[in-house]
Amino acid sequence: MALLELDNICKTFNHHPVLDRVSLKLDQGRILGLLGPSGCGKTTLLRIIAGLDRPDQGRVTFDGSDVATIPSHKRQFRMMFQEFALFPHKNVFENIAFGLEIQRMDSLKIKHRAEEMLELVGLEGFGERNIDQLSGGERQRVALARSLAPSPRLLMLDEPLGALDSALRKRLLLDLNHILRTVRVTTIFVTHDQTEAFALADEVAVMSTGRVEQMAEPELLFHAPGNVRVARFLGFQNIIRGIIQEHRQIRTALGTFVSDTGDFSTGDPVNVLIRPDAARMVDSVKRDCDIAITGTITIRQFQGYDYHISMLTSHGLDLAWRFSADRPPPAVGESIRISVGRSSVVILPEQPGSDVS
Amino acid sequence: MNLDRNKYSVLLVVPPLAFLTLFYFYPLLKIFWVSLVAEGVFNTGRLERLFTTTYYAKTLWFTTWQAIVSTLLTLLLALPAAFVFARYRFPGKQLIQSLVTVPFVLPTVVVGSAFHALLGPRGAVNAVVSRIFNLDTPLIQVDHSIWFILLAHVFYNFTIVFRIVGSFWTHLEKSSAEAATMLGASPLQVFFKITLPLLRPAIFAASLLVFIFCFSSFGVILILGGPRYATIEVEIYRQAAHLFNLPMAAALSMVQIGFTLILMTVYTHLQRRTAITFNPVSSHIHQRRIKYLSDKLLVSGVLIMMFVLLGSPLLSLLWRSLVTADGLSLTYYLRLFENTSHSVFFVPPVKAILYSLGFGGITLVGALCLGLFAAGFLSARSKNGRSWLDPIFMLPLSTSAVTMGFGFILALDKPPLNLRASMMIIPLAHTLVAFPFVVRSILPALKSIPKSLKEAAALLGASPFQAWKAVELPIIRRATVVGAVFALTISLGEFGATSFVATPQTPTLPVAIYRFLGQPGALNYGQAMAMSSLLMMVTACGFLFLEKFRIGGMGEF
Repeated sequence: MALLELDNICKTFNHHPVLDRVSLKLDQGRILGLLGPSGCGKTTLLRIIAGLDRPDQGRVTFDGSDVATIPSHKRQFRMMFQEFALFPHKNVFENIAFGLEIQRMDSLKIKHRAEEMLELVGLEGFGERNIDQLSGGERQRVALARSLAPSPRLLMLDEPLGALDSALRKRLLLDLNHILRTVRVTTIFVTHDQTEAFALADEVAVMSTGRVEQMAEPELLFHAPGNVRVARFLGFQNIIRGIIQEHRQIRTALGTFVSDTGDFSTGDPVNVLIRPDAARMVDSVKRDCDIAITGTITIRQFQGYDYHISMLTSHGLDLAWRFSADRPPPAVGESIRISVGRSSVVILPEQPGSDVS
Repeated sequence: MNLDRNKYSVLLVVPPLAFLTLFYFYPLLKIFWVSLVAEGVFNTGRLERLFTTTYYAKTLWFTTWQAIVSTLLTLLLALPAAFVFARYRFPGKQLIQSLVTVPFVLPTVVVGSAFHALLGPRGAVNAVVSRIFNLDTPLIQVDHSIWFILLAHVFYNFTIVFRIVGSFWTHLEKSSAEAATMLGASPLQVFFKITLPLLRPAIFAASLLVFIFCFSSFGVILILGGPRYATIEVEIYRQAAHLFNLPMAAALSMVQIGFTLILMTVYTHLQRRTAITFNPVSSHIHQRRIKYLSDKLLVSGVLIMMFVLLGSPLLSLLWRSLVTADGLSLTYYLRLFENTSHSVFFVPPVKAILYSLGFGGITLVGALCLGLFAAGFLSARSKNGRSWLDPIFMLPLSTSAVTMGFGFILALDKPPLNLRASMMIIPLAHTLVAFPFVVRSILPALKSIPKSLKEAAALLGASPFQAWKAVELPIIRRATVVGAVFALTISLGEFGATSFVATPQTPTLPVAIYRFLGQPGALNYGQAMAMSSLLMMVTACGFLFLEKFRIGGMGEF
């Protein structure tokens, strides 16, 4: 049985739906990343789990019981806020000790536990410092130590690295990953950054406009995005319309080809995602089953390990590709012929409202 | 180019500095001289007597304890209001917030009259109670009691705590409280362990300011306290104006100057620290709607309290100014413009109005000129926005008006500066009081103009004067209007200094009100009410105009 269960959570702010029938489950000890653009409702969802906001509808169940009647300060869920919300009138030690004092732990034990936490986050000897003497990264660590000190039943992190600059984020991502794997506490974190989500999470839930679009392990999510919105959010650009034909064929603007059509049946309108790293430059198409595309290069960017290419096909489609740096593509304005293996094609259900060329 | 500007800007500082030297430092030195030097011999005997003589020691003690009690009472009533306004959203809030500040800007004489009108022997409450129960003597006899003074002080200073703590509270980061909640703290624990400690600097700064104002309270105590109560300020006035014991008054003034300077220094220091701990402040404002019954009770309770405390004295004032023996009428107002032979004045009341307007006009021009010069100098000279002259220009702000008025009559009575008999002495005193306010209004606007604007104008071919006209003038025009309204309203309501320098022939509105209140008879009382109402309306309108015109970051003193 799942430790945390959200069932049909709805929330409206000023007649504007922020969460729309959100349901998900999280097992003991797992780390869940809520991934989505800003304004998709992920922070609100976190606050509802914390009890800081009430859902209009739906149920939050923890360890088998409904938590609606338990006020947030009694849930023993700990939360790390986006700007860390350290108490400015307390020093580092007092910040970490706060949750322990509330639990009426005796002062010797508090001292011991606080030191243990400082060691965990790599800030030994920082106890007497004031908050305004800390750098952004140090604040983040203190906030994490403060949340972890009273042994949370559930840890929640709101954009744990969001308030830091990008160089620091990279380094602290590794540390945060290490710490979370060490303490093994059930964790939910919110992020808009795909790298962060993939690096930290056991499972990622992609959210957009108040709904959970897909929840899966990072690898699965990346290889088989469930719909156009998820694919778009993960950065995939080559999505075109298609119609399922007989004999597992799909007809698209690029031609008709064979693919794994899965559960779709003949005549179904679908969307076809072609991975950007799947293309090879060819002189002529050798195998029948591959998809051949010709077009003109419109953008050509050297990125170090690879080239990013945009091409305008003869069908009028705008497609993006990545080519390995060891075989440079032609210059802008020149024509190019490529071939795509059919294993690099993902078929997504037709979704109203999603922009697909 | 830059050097040129600096050379000219030195000239700007001459008029304000000369003015302060003549009318601030010279009188102050004179006070020191008179209090310390008796018949040509240096002697601290008088200062010692202040602390050893029971009578003076009692005055010092009364000044202190009434200020402490007033401050505590103000905190008690204003903190819940600050909380409600920081945490709830409700209709009409903005308007109430503006109106709450009106008492603070009213002349002390008007406040005195207003409390007379509410709780005095002829006041509204007694009138209603007497009619209902058919009493001959007024039931509530708070006249000349300590409660009268304390209530008036709370009325006066409510908005200081309300505004300073309220704005701090409004912007207090909600996440600090939420972080504590998520660490297991109950709402009560959150309040005492997080919110209150975070508010402490704001509460402390506000309390100190209230204390300073109550400590140097003059008009309220003179009008409401009667002969039994005297603060240092009132005692200075009595010693000088009634007993003609100038050396004693000078000694008291020195004590007063010392105390206020120390307190103001502590306050400025504290305010700077508050600015630093403004750190936990966010631009997000989280306010909730009134949802539950408990919210409703709390909010309506606070609003009723505020109405009773702040609204009822002012409404009674208006009401008493309209109620005559023949029912509601404008008699008292009309009588102000008649020259009755048995008037307590040598001049009819309408003259007092005209004098006040005249003095106000002169003050406006004088303070504005000096303020523009000073602000122009400060903005041109100071490298990082601060100049050592800045606090010097602010000195009149932290000196009580009574000591300044006393210094005037002490120092300006001999040639070449014999102004005792001149009418100009009144607008000069008013200009001195208003000058820092004008500087404070204009300086932020001037400083907000980036250097690059003027340089851009110069590179586009504008001469320094053209650049000033095209760039600076439009930007400081609003600020100048604000400064002008400040100067005018301050002059119209000034009582502390005026009570010293006004001659019987040249009363201003506040002085006339004070005299009316001291005379028996329904007509005198009614005319005091009518005059106070007029003054209240003018000041309140001036203030509400300022609120509309406010420029970001100004108006903090």
